[in-house]
Parts: sequence; C-alpha cells; structure tokens
Amino acid sequence: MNLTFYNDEATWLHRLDPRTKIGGVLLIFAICLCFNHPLFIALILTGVLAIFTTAKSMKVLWKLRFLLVLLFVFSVVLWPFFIKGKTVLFQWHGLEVSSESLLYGFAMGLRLMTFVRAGLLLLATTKNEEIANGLIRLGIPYPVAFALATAIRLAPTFADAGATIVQAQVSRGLDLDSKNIFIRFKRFTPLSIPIFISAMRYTNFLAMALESKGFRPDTPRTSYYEARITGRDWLAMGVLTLTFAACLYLRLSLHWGIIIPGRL
Amino acid sequence: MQHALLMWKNTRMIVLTSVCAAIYAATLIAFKTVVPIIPGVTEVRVAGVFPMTFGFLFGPAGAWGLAIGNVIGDIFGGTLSPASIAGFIGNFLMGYLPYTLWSTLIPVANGTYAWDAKSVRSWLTYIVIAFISGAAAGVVIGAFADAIGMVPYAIISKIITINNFIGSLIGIMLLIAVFDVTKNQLRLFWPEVMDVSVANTAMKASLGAWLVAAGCILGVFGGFVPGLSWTAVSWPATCLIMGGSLLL
Amino acid sequence: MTSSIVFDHLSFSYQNTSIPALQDISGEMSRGSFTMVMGHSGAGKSTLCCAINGLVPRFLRGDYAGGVIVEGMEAGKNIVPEMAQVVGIVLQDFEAQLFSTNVELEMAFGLENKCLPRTAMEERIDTYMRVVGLEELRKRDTATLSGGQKQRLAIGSVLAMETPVLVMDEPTTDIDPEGRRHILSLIRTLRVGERTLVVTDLDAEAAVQADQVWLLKDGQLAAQGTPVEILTDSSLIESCGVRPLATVALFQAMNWPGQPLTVEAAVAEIESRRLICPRRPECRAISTLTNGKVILEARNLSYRYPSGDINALNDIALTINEGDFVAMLGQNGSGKTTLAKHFNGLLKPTVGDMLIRGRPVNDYRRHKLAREVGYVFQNPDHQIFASTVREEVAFGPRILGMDRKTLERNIAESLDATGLSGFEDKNPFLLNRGERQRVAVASILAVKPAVIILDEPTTGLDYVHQRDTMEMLKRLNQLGHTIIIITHAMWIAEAYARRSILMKEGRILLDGSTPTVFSDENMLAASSLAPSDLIRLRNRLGLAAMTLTDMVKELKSEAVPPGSF
Repeated sequence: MNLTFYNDEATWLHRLDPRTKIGGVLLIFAICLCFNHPLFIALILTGVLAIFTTAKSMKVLWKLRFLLVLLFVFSVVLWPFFIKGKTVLFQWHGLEVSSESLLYGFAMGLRLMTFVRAGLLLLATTKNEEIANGLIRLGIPYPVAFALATAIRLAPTFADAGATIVQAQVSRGLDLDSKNIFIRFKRFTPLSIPIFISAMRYTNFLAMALESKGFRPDTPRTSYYEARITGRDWLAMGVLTLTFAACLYLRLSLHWGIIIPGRL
Repeated sequence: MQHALLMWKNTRMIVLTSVCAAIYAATLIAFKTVVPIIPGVTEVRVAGVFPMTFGFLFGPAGAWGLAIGNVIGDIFGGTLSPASIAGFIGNFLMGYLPYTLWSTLIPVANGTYAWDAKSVRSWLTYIVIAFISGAAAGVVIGAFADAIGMVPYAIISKIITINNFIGSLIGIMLLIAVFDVTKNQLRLFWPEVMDVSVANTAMKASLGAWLVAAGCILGVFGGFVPGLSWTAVSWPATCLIMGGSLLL
Repeated sequence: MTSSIVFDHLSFSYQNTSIPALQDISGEMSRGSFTMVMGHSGAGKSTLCCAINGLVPRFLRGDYAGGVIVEGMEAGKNIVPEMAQVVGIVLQDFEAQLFSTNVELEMAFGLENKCLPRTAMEERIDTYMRVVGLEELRKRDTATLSGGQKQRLAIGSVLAMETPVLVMDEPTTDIDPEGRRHILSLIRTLRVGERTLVVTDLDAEAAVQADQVWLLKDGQLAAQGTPVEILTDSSLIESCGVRPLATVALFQAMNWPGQPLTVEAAVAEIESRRLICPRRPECRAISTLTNGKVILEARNLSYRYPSGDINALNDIALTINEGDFVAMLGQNGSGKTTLAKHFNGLLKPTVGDMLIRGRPVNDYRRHKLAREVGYVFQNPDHQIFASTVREEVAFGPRILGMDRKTLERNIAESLDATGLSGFEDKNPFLLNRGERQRVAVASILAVKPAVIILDEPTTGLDYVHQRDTMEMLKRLNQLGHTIIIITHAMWIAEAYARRSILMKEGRILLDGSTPTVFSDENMLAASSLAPSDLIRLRNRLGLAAMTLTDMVKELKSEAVPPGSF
C-alpha cells in the first residue's frame, strides 16, 4: 500500500534541508496565528499556494480537495455561534450571530485550510526518512526518531493487514454496512482483536532483528544521510523569520488584522 | 513520569512503541472518517478501542505509541497542523493515564498493575480511568483547538471525551481477549518487560492522580456552572491535568 | 580447516515449558562451509539459529546449558549487539526485520550501528545491493516491495555488515517460486569465500548444494553428514518431517542402483544404465470432472483496482464445476487472489460478470453468498478473535442466523473434519500455526459452503502438516465440497488438484487437467514456474502417473527389463 503524499520532483523546495522545512512550516503556522481577519489570512494562503506552485505540487492539494472544502464549511458554519461581536445580526433563544463573528468564522475556515496546506507543503516535498532525519538533527533522541521511522514503515503493512482482516470477516458474514448502532459496536471485536494480535506477533521478531543488527538504544551511531545547510536554507529561514517578525509588529503595535480582539 | 523516560533505554519497549504507533496509525488511516482533523466528529472510530489496552498492557510504550501513531495518522492523512502538537499530547495522555492511574488513583486503585477480568473492582477501575483519560485528551486537545481557532472548545472537548469513553468501553472486550496471550505467551506486559516489580503508589503520585481527575471534571462540567464560560474553564483544567500528570 | 562455530553439549528449554527445545547439541561448522539445518516444525531449527548469535538465551530466556562458541566469542556470555560483530542473522519473517522507509537506508541501518563513516557505508551499500540484485530499487519505499524483494533486502542488509558468519532461518518461506529461485541462486553466490553459512529450510531440494546437512528431530541432532549421506536416506529424512527427494525415492522404490540427487543426474543414470527405454511423452486421456453442474462462472471478467492504472484481471472466461478440486497457480501479482476474491463477491468486476449458479454475484445478499462460497485467508491470524475454538467456529454460522441445533451439529462436524475434536474449549491464540490454520478452515466449514477457497493453505507448514492439511481437503472434496486452492507449492497441486489453472499478468495462461498442465513445462516456464522434481522426472520418462506410488505401478506394469534393447 502506498500512502505517502510525497511528490517526486526536483524543485528548490525539495532540495531544502528537512530542518529548514520543518522550521519553515512551524513559522507559517505562527504567521497564520498573528491575525484573525479573513483578508489577512487570505493573503497568507495566497503566499502558501504560490510556494506550492513553485514546488510543482498543486496536484497534491487536489487529492485532498473534499477534506479542504469540508474543513472550510465546518468552520464557517460553527464559529459564528460561539463568538460574540458588537454588530448583532440576529438573536434566537440565546444564540446570537454578529457580523464580526461571521467574518471570524470565515477567517478561521481560511486559517484551517492554510494550516493543512502548509503541512502538505512539507509532506509533498520531503520524504518520510528526511523528516525523521530532520527531527534527529533538531535534537530528538535517536530512539524516539527510530520509533517514529519504524512506525511509518510498518503502518502501511498493518493497514494492508487491516484491509485483509475486514475482507476475511466479511467473507464470514460480518455486516459492515448496518445502520444499527449496536451492530456497529459489535463489529469492533472481530476486527480489532486480529489486528492487535497479528501485529503483536511481530514485536518480538522486530526486537530480535534489531539487537542482531547491533542496535543499542544508548550508544552513539553514525548517520547515512548527511544534512547540508546551504545558503538557500539560510535565505528561506531568514525570509520567513522576517515575515513573522513583521506580522507580529503589525498585530501587536499597529493592531492590524484583528476582527475579534483577545483571540489569536 | 520516570518509566516514560526510562523506557527509551529498553529495546523491546522501543519496538513496542513502534508497533503500537503503527497499529494506531494504520487503523486511523484504514477506517478514516470524513473529517479526521476534527477527531471523531462523525462516529466512534475503530482506532478508539486501542488506547486503554495499549496504555494498560504496554504502559509508557503504549503512551508514546499513541502519541506517535496520531502524528503518523496526520502525516498519512495529510492533516499536519498545529493541532498535531495537541494531538500528540492528548493521545499520549490516553495511554499514560491508564497505567499510572491504575496504581495511584485512590480509592479505586488497588496498588498494583494487575488486571483481573473476574474482579468487579478491576472493571470499576477500568471504567473510571477510561473516563478520566478520555476526558483529559478531550480537555487538552479542546483547549488548544479553541485557542488557535480550529473548533470551539465547548463542542470539541465533549465530542472527544464521549468518543474516547465509548471507544474505551468497547475496548474492554479487546483487553479481556488479549490480556492473557500478550502477558503469558508473547511476554509483552510492560512491568515484566521493564522489570518493574513494585507499582508506583507514592503519595505524590496519588496527589497527581487527583489533580488530573479534578482537571477533567472541571474541564468537562465546569462550563455548566452559571457565570463560567467554557473558554475560561479550559485553561485551568488543562493546567491541572498537565501538572498532575507530571507528578504521576 | 578451522572451525567457525562450535556447539558444545548445548541444551535449552524456553521459560515455562517442560519440553526442551534443544537437547545436547554438539558439533562443528568449519570456516567457509555451508550447513543446511533441516527438520520438522518445532524441531528446534530456529532455536539453533538464535543460539548462534546469543538471542538464545540473552533475549529468549530459559534454561541454558552447554554453550556455543562463534569465531572465538562465546554466544551466551556476550550481549546480542556485541555478537553482531561476528554473526549476521536473517530471521524467519522478513516483514519483521525491515525498519526503514527506503531501501538504501535499510542497507545502512546495521552500518550506522557499527558507526561506519559515510563513505565506507556507501561503498558497502553499492556492493551488496548488486549482490542481492536490488540496485535499481535504491530509493524505493520499503513498503512497496514484493515479498521476494523484501527478503532479498533483509539478506542484503545483513550481508552489508560483513560478518564472518551468516545465518538464515527459512529464507524461502512465504515467497513465490520465482522469488525462491532468486534466493536459492543468491545462496549459491554467497557460499564462495570465507563466509560460514548456516541456512534452515523445509525442503530437501534446497539442501543438495550444501557441504553439510544437519537433521534435527524433537530438539536433538538426529544426523549430520554430507548431502549424499543424508539425503539418500529417504526414511531417515521423512522421519524428521522432511519430504524425501523424489529422485532418490523413485530409485529406491524401483530398486534401481544409484542415488541421484537431481533430476538431471537421475535421467543420466537411467539413460546410461538403460533402466527403461526413453519414450515420447504421450498424452493419455485423464478423467477431468465434467459431470458436475457449473457452480462458478466468470464471463469476460476484467478488474482494475481503484488505485491502479492497469487491469489486474483481463477478460477472464472460466467455469468451475461442482465437486471439482482446482489449483490456481502463478507468481504473486499474476491475479490469482484477485480472481478468487471475485468468486465470493469481495471484489466486483469492472467489466463482465461473475455468476454463482447462473446468477450474478450482485444478486446475492452477503449472507447467502457466505453460504455458497467460503474463503479461508492465508494468515489465520487475520480472522481469529474469539477466546475459545468453539466460539471462533460458531461466529460464521451464528451471524448467518443458523438455529442452535444445526449450529451445534455443524461445529462438531467441522471440528471433526479438521481433526480438532477435543479442542473446543482451547484458546485459539495459544495453538501453533498449523492448528490455527485448521481452526480457520473449520470456521469456514461450519457454514457448509458449497465452494471453499483456500489461499496458500500450506504456507509455513512442514511436510507432515502440509500433507495432513491436504488430506483433510481431499476428504472435504469427497464429501462434495468444491475446493479451490491458491498455491505456490507445486507438489501440492500435482498430488491433489484435479484441475490446474495457470495465471500470468491477469490472464489465464493454461487451464486443464493437472496432468496435462504439468506436462507442459514450457508454459509453466513462461510464468516462471517449474514442476516438482518428481513431475519433471515423470515428464522426462514420459509417464502418465502423478504420484510416486502410481509412477512405480506404471513403471512396473510395463516393466522393461533393464538393458533389453
């Protein structure tokens, strides 16, 4: 089963050091949190989409189109009821919607989409092993990164096994489509137990293979992938850091981009 | 907290972490509902039956496994966002609280890590802890999701709490079915893997257990008190839960 | 010759077990030699492998006596990562020893642990990727490799560590015939040089090329010697649960002189001694089952996976009669399983129709379908979930709404048919692989489906268990069930199936009675398959019989006195 969002191209973004990309995505997240006015967030979203274009990865977004639209609608519909603004549009049994809260909902919908897209930017241009390697170089202890990398390697295998288990139980007559809530609950047992046991049978083998290859959790080791920070990386980080600083200034000193004060 | 850090020196525990993470991620992916980023909005997920069993059987490996597994679910689902950080902490708690509270939450705890399907007390403890750990995740993830403008706390904290709780209640069937095999045949029960002979029953830990419980009650029911807004409740509740967890 | 591995009265029993896994093993393996360790499942092969690098007793705990010295290091006294300097081990389950998300990183893993500098790693990776033939897949995601490729990667990553001793535990289990051939030829390459090679396998045909064969039985070293010494003793190796070499068995049964280990040697022997006159293979009329009613029919069936860009099945036309015994053959990815999953409606054709008893699969409700066609998946752990065997077997019938009395009777009958009577209250998770396999079959059988499909029913089983399983299926077939097996084990298809269907790249390449299909070695070769040694010999000699007993009968009935012409 192939599940990754990685989009095999050779653009500048693909060539950036994984540390830069992880840091960069975190900075974009932070930039998004500076404003809650839809116009400002729309601007940030445009920026993210521009980067997507230069990374030749727009098609990755297409894969998640339904999710993105859903997230947006969800936010736009939900938030107005939970935020209080000055210009009340209508009131009904204690629920009130104001024009500010509508705008806020719209902004949050855009922000959520920007979050997901920024995350995809990392996933589309960075291989899983690069992410793990980047995390190690950012200071995560090796055993933790190893657990992450191995889990990424095993997840598709277990997902395949999960699909087979579903087929095996369906062949025996298990009804997966029932609308009855109790039948839905009952089906969990024949699915979850085989998933658990068949995976757990791996554990001891994995640990044995690991020790047999000379692995020790607390001794130093070398790394096959060497990360190289180049001028490009410094440039990317510099631009993003400056942007973030500028946004902080706009928000904190000039109070721009605020629809609902007191919220991120 | 001590075991949760020490385990990284134990090869078998590290591998268990990977396997738990992979199972959790695989079920999150394979049985993905439409809105994975807003956890469990539509229905109880198959993945929801695992946390209690992982936490109880594999202790710290279960906790880290759930935390990492949730991140991998986000990686394969394409939903990496600031909420992934909250998801990491919240899912960690869902695996961390079961084994820590099991020995420390007086009066339901009996001071050991043992599970006995025939004992009413074991069932009672399971149910209480299932609620607390589910709520802890709900409160922490909810507070964070609200703050960054993803979903209002009043909604998301309850949805996560209820979903986790129901998942854990169904999960008791899983625990009963696999406990013996995992402990006696596969030899993967965490106190034995880590050579922990005496359960943690220190006063400090019991205090932590109660702080966590108090935080959960505040976080789930506090907003119903007239004059208290949900958002106002969310952060003190989160602090109680996080602070209490560090004492465990 | 200096010795590389020395076993000194090694005994071991696992924690909480009473039966020892190894008993008083003593012996030497010299540097640069290739030793094949054989025996029934549970004979102690894996335990022996694990004792060489200290996993026994450092990881798998138990009572340990005696010792093993490997290249001067005592296995039990050093921790496993320390032993990794001298011993590389490829464990049984390749899926469980790959840790990395791409091929070259996997190759690098052991080297990183050894703290090799990057340039040295690169050199080694280049070298050993070429040895295992994966150089083109360097950047591939590990999860997307085929079973055979994963196994070669597992071997390559251990090879890269350049240990003087290399141990491989059943490296050819659970891969398709082409993958198996790759591994066997890889082993041939590896035995050159100073490397000490220890390999376990279930199949005697793989042992021919070894320097030494060790036979284990119930934890004891039953025999050790050269392949000629061991493999020519059919009764000895059969008593250890290993299928005897067909060539040797035939020569013994015919009382012919000579003990050839390979088909080529056997044919040469027969020709040179003029034991029988070579004849043109003649095709005799062999009864195939044509009297039964058609139960399954595929009409111009094509299928494409939702994520795929080529058809997994192409224009399949096929009918299967009630009461038949069918083997589906082909490499992984040839479409066997995809086609079989159409038989019970797990997959729906993209184009064309799948009919059961003349009605389209789509017309059947799920419950009805489960009563017509049962499907036993390859890995029994993918379906077992109940806490007793009885509960497990009752799951299907109960969900299909069978009444209590019928249910009880069906459970009893299916347990009886699978030889599991008396297992009712046992916990299925605690049974061994062969028994769990039978629980899976029983749980399908309890529904009494007309057709039973079994995906690789003999994988991971030794010869004795394979034969037991197949005899059970034969009985079920005699009771009227239509049996369809998907298998990589040629001898099983040859000996048990009435009809064989050969698939390649989503098409049916050849379909006919098993004797006819297996006479056509060119077609089999076209899908990278080869008959077993027995049938290759039969084809060379132009016989019609498909089993050893029948071949002997056939040869004796038209006995040509040796050297009469």
